[in-house]
Amino acid sequence: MDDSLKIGIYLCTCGGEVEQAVDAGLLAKEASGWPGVTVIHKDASLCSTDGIRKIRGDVEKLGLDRVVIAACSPFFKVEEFSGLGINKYLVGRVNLREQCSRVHRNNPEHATKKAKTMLRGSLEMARHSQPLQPLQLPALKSALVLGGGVAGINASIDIAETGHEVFLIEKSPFLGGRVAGLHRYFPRMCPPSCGLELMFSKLKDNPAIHILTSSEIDSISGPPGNFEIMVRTCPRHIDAERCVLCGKCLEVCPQNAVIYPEGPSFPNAPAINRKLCIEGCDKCAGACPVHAIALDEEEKVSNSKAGALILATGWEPFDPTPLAELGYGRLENVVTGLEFEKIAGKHGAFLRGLKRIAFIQCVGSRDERHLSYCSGVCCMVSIKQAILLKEMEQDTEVYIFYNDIRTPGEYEDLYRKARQAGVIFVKGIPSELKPGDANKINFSVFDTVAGERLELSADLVVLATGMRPSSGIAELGGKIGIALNKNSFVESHLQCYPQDTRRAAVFSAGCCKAPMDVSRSIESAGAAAVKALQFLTGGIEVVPDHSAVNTLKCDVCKRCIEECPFKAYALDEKGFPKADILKCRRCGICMGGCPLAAVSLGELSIVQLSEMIDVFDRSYLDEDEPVILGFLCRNDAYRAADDAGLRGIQYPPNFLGIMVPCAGAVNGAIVAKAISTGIDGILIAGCPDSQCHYIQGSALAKTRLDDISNKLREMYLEPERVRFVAVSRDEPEKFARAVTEYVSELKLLGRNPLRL
Amino acid sequence: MPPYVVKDKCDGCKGKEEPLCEQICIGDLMTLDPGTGKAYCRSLRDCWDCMSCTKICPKGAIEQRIPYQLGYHGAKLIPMIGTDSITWTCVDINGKVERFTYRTRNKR
Ligand SMILES: Cc1cc2nc3c(=O)[nH]c(=O)nc-3n(C[C@H](O)[C@H](O)[C@H](O)COP(=O)(O)OP(=O)(O)OC[C@H]3O[C@@H](n4cnc5c(N)ncnc54)[C@H](O)[C@@H]3O)c2cc1C
Ligand code: SF4
Ligand code: SF4
Repeated sequence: MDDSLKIGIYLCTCGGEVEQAVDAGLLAKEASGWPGVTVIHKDASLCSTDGIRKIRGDVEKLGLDRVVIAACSPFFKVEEFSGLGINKYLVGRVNLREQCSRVHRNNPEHATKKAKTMLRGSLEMARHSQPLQPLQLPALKSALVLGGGVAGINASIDIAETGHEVFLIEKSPFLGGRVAGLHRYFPRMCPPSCGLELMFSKLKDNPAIHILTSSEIDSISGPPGNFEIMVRTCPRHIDAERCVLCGKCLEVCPQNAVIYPEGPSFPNAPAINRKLCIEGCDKCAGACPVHAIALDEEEKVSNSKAGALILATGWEPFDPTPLAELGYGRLENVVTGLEFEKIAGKHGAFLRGLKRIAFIQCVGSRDERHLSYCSGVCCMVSIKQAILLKEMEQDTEVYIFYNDIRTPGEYEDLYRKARQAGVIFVKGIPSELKPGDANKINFSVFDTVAGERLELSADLVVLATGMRPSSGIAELGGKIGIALNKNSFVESHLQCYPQDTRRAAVFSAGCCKAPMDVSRSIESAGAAAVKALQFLTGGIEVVPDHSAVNTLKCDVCKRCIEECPFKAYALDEKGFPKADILKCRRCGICMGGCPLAAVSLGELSIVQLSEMIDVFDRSYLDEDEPVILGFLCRNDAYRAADDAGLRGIQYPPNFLGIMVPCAGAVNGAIVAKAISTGIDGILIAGCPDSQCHYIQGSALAKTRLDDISNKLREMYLEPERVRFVAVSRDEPEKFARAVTEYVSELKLLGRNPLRL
Repeated sequence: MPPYVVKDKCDGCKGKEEPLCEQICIGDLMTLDPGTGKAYCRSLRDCWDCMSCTKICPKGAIEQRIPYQLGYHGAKLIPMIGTDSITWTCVDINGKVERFTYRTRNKR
């Protein structure tokens, strides 16, 4: 132990609040004899200007190397206590108020003893802390957007309008995505050309946007802030600048190889799919009046550099063929919603001739066998299409067969409008579609509201097929190193970080993350753009508090590489695992998993924890009172414990809580050491699995504790000496209950036989 | 007497190449079964009973069968490794349990 460090301890009574249970005077007296303690000061309000001035003065005059503040929760007064004239990572905090005095009010004697133990532990933590200085890392100012649908286009425009360069990469020969193929779009019922053309003109007018159509990502390398992306571009074979859209190429091509834009498109020129061409044929080149065709153009691979990436690869329709009972592909007049958009745009006359049209909702969606989720837009899509039909031809009978109608917010107006226009809504899904006379389709359906079976026939049946992520998303996800959720959409922590993916500086927007309509796609594009901009300032300031591997101990078993939820690790030039400072999210899951306890975080090291455990008095309450060491995750359990304090929920003082970034950060060797040296019980409290901010931290913590529990059993010790509890942020009662129950259980088990 | 790997517990050290037991074994006896992805001792008679693999296995998956000179059937030696401590649990053939905790110099 380095006794030469000068440490100042500052006790705050918080205007008497702390002293309701803790005898601060006694605490100060005892602490003054501890190694390294140079000054100890008790104050009624440390966070006041005078309090801060006092600490600053001491730091300067006495040359303090470390400062320990025993006061409120470390989540309070963060600003105040980081400006003490000493590197803020050398300042330790002891949570005397929320996690001691307020929760042990009726037991001042024990509260004081616990406070002393906490303070002693924190002194050791502080002694072994390291100063950290933020680093300035160079970063690029450009962004790359993948997918040129409404989401990708809007994200590109938003970023470019702040003066940053954007590379917009689109797989197909045209921008616009699925919206370009719609007839009208809700809720305003405008033709998509209106919105898209405005977007296209913004793209055209902005020299900062570089558009690459018919292009896909080959590979991506480099850290966040400095991605290097190889893009493969198929040739268009038609010079979009020259093309006058006369359509001659389309007329002469014997092979249907000309891909002609159908709706509003950008670039506004066809493309030629050379894979379909006959050897030697150059009919189109001859027919083109403006000589825009170059059949010998070749595939290009280019290199783009970007500081951040936005994924906006969109969706594709669910293929209803497997639902044989609905007759898609077998019956002529059964079409999907997307096909209906085309029919409505081009064959209005055909629709006007029909007497009855039926829409069937939830095709593929909300069906465990196919898409287990709600596709979100299909109700509105069918309602939109039904209204358009009614506006076209009042006589057409329009039925919508549904499970539930979902029209949140102002969309309810369109639902109402449809009913007023005479659209008939039937709660029930037709069981089987059968061919009838004159291309009609017969079916029966049980109307669950009326309680009767209807036998109907329709001229056209529209299947409201669901949305699934674009094909190729899995492969793309693998290349970029992001994860997909159980429905294969791009995964994100929907509530807290909806735009983030598992990789730093890679964000998602639009339907690649979840089914959504145009307005929400555009919204999410804006949000992703703002997130991306934070990485495009030309430099990134980061504190090196990421995980670091002690190469003297590491045996390169690579467990850290495997278990890091964010794929932050790679082997360095010497062959040791090294976490990328920009990819690491500081969860500590690698620190918890390393079998050799060789990984530490900048703010919390294995040495700190180990040294702290050493100085805890195993019998601080009494010989027969169990001592529990609690590891509380920063995002939930620790906050719940603080709330227990704020609300004065009481629990026994046998519990010493330590904050860890994630339940997954607790290393087995720390637990083993604590048990081996006589701590009676270890409680790890983390988020419920589905809420873990670091995806798998809680789950890993549980498995690791199970291993230790098994080991204890083999050692003829009680496996109950280690325990995991799931505590959400808003469950202070549950937290207090878990502690109380654990204390009683451990009392029944008796002392840890390894306590000396 | 050789190490015995409890298959359900071993996770092949997840790294898919050289697991810790393979790295630590002085006789290079432990290795992964490519079929199951689990560790095994490839030459039982060459084991020196040093228990390095038992100690290092993060999953507690390796049990050591104690050589008969030290204890007959029923005797056990179980290590538990802390950051800078090791606790040995010794069970003799009569089921008598003793535990010893030592400091190691593993801290940094
Ligand atoms: C039948 C139907 C009708 C609809 N009608 C409406 C409506 O009226 N109003 C409304 O608000 N919403 C409507 N929607 C929803 C709307 O289509 C979506 O909200 C919108 O398309 C989402 O835009 P996006 O940019 O996320 O995806 P997309 O439009 O799918 O665009 C994604 C783009 O990314 C490209 N891409 C895919 N993979 C790659 C890759 N690997 N590399 C490069 N590029 C790639 C694709 O080619 C595409 O151009 C409808 C949906 C359906 C099913
Ligand atoms: S701290 Fe978390 S994010 Fe960082 S390297 Fe370790 S496991 Fe990965
Ligand atoms: S050290 Fe343990 S977990 Fe790792 S491979 Fe060997 S037996 Fe399996």
